[in-house]
Amino acid sequence: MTSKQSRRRPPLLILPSLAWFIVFLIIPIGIVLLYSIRHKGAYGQIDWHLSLDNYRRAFEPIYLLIVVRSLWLAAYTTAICLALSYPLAYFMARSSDSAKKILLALVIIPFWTNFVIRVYSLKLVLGENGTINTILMKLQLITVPLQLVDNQFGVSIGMVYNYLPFMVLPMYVALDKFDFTLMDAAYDLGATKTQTILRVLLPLSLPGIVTGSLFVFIPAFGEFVIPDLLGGSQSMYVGTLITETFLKSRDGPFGSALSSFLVLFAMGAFMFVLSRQAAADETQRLRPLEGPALTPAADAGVSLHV
Amino acid sequence: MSDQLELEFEHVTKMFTGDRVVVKNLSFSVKKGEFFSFLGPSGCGKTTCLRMVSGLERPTSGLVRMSGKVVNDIHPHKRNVHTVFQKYALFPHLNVFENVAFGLRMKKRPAAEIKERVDRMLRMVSMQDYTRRSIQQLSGGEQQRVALVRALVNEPAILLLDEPLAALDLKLREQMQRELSALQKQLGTTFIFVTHDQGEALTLSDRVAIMNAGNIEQIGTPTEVYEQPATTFVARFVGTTNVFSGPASQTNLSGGMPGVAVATDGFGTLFAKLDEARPLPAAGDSVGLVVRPEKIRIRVTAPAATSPSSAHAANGAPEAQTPGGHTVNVLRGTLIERIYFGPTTQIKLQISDRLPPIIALVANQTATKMPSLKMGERYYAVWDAADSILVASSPATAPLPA
Repeated sequence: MTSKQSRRRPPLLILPSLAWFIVFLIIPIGIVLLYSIRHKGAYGQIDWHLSLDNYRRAFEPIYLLIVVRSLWLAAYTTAICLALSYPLAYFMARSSDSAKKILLALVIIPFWTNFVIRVYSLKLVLGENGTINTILMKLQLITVPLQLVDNQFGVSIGMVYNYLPFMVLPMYVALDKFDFTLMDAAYDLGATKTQTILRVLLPLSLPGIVTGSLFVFIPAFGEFVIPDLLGGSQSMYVGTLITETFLKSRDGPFGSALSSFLVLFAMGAFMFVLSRQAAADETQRLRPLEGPALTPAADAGVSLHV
Repeated sequence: MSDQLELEFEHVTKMFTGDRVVVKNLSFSVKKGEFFSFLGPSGCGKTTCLRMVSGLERPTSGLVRMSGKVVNDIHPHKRNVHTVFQKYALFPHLNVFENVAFGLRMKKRPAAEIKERVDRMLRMVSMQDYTRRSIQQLSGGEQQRVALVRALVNEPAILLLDEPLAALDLKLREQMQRELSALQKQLGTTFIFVTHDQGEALTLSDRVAIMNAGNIEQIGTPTEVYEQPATTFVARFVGTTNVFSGPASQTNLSGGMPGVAVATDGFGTLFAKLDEARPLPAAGDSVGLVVRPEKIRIRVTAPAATSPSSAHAANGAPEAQTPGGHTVNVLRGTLIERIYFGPTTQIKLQISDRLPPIIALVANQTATKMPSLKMGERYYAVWDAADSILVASSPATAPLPA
C-alpha cells in the first residue's frame, strides 16, 4: 500500500540528499577522474594531453612498495583491533543493561575530542619526555628513554587507538543480538569451549566481524594524519604519498590517479564483501543476526565525529 | 539397587549471586527409563534443577549423582545428558541435517555413521524430507521435532526437556505429547521433563515432583499427587480444588470409624476419614482439608436424616450427618456461576460473602436425573467424609494459579 503510493508520487523528499550527493560526491569524483588522465606540464601547468600514463606510473616499484606497506599497516591494524574488540564486545553484550550503557559511553567518549588533538596528545604520551618514559625512568626500569614514537611502533599504536571503536561497535551490535542459549545448546550437545566458539559463536557473529573489519581496513589503508604525526619522516604510506603528490610535488594529475585507485580499491572491497554476504543469504536463506546494516553506529544509538 | 538409579540429588542447594536461594536442600532420585516431571509455577527452581543435571549450573552445595557417580564438577560436554531447550535453541546458521548432526560431529564420528544415524532419527519423526531446509523455514512443531532428535541422536542416558511444548498451540501440543510418550517407551531413555502445565505432567509422567519456591512439596505418581496431595499447595496446583483449613481434632465418624474434625474459619466443622498411612496431626495443629470438585454432589434438599434446624444454621454451617451410615459434609450456598463443559458442568456456590465459593463438578449423565440448576437459587453441596483429604498447610509463598 505505502510502497505503491511512494512509487506513484515523485520522491520529492530525496531531492536534497540527491543534490548533496551530486554536488559533493559525483561531481568531485568526476573531477578527480578527469584530472587523473591529464598531465602536469613542464612549468607546473595542467595540460589537456589525455592519456593513462599516470595510472601506468602508479605501478612503478617505488609506488607499489608504498601500496604494499599501506596494505600491511591496514591489515595488522585490523587484526589487532579485531583481537582486542572481540572479547570486549562479548563482555559488553553479556553485561547488564545499565553496564552496557556505561561501557558503550566509555568506548565513544574519546570521539568527543578532535581527531588531530587526540593523535597529537598520543605524541606527548609516547614521546621521549612523555608520560610513559617519565614513569619508567622514575621507577628506574630504564635508563635511556624508549623510542616509542616517530617510528612504526608509534604509527601502530596510533592506528589501533584510533580505529578500535570502529571495530567494537559493529561487533557489539552483532553480539548483542546473539542468542547465548545457543552456546548452552552447543555445550549440551558435547561441544568443548573451543568448538562452541568456532562452530557457533564465530559463524553467527561473522557479519559484525566483516563490517568492523571493513570499517577499519578501508580508512586505515588511506590514512595519512597518523603516519604523518606519529611516524616521523621515514615511512611513506598511500595516504601520505597522495598528500605529498598534491601539496609538495604539485602533481595533481598523478595524485588524482592514485586517489582513483584508492576509491576503486575501497569500492571493490565493499562490493566483494556485500556480494559474498548476499550469496550466503541466498544459499542458506538465513539472517542469523540481521547482519549489521553497515551502520552500526546508528544501530547502537550513537554517532561518531572524526 | 543403586545401579537402578539414573540420577540422584543429595541435599542439593543452589544459590545465585546476592544469596538468592533458588533450590533448597533437594533430595530425590530418578530410576532408569523413568518419565519424571518437575511441575511448578515459574520461578520455583525447576529449570535450575534441570540445568544442574545437564551441568550448565553447578550446585552450591550437595551432590548430584548419575548412575552412582558424583558429577558435580563434570563439564556439560562430558555428560551423557542432552537437553531440548524451551525455545529449541536450534542453530540458525545450520540446516536441519547439520543441526541434528552437531553432537555427532563434535564427537568426531565418521561421516557415514553420522549420515546413517541422523537420517534414521529424522525418519523417526517424519522429517526425512527436510534435511536441507533451513531452520527459519520450519513451523514451530517441526522445529520442536528437530530439537528433540538433535538431542536424541546422541543416545543420551537422560533426556532433559525444558517446557518443550510451551510454545505450541493446543492441538499440536496434544499431538506432540503423544509422540513424546511413544518415543520414550520405544527408546527406554530416562526423560526428565519440566513444565508448569499440570495436565501435561499428569498425562506424560511416571512420577511427578511438584516444586514450590525451591522445595519439592511432593513426589508421586500422577494418581498419588492428584488423589492424595501432600500439601495445600499441591492440591491447589494440581487440578481444581476446594481447600479449607483450621485446627484439627480427632473424632469418631458414624460407624465408629476414626476421623478428624477440622474447625474451619467460616465453613464450620468439616470431617475427614483418618488415613492410617498418614500421621494424625497433633491436636490443635492447623491442617488443610481438600475436596475435589467432582466428589461434591449438588442437592436441592438437605440430605436425609438431617434436622432442618441444623442444616439451616447461620451461613449454612454444616453438621456431621449420617445418611445411610456415611458421615457426610454439607454446605449450603447460592449458585453464582455455572459453566457448561459438555460432559460436565462446573458450579460455584457462594456460602458467604467473605469466603471463597465452593467449586463442584457435576457430571451431565442423564438430563432427567438432575434438576436444572438456576442461578441465584440455594443448593446443598454434599460430600463423603472419606472424600476429604487431609493435607499439611503450606505457607502461601508462591502465587497460586486461579
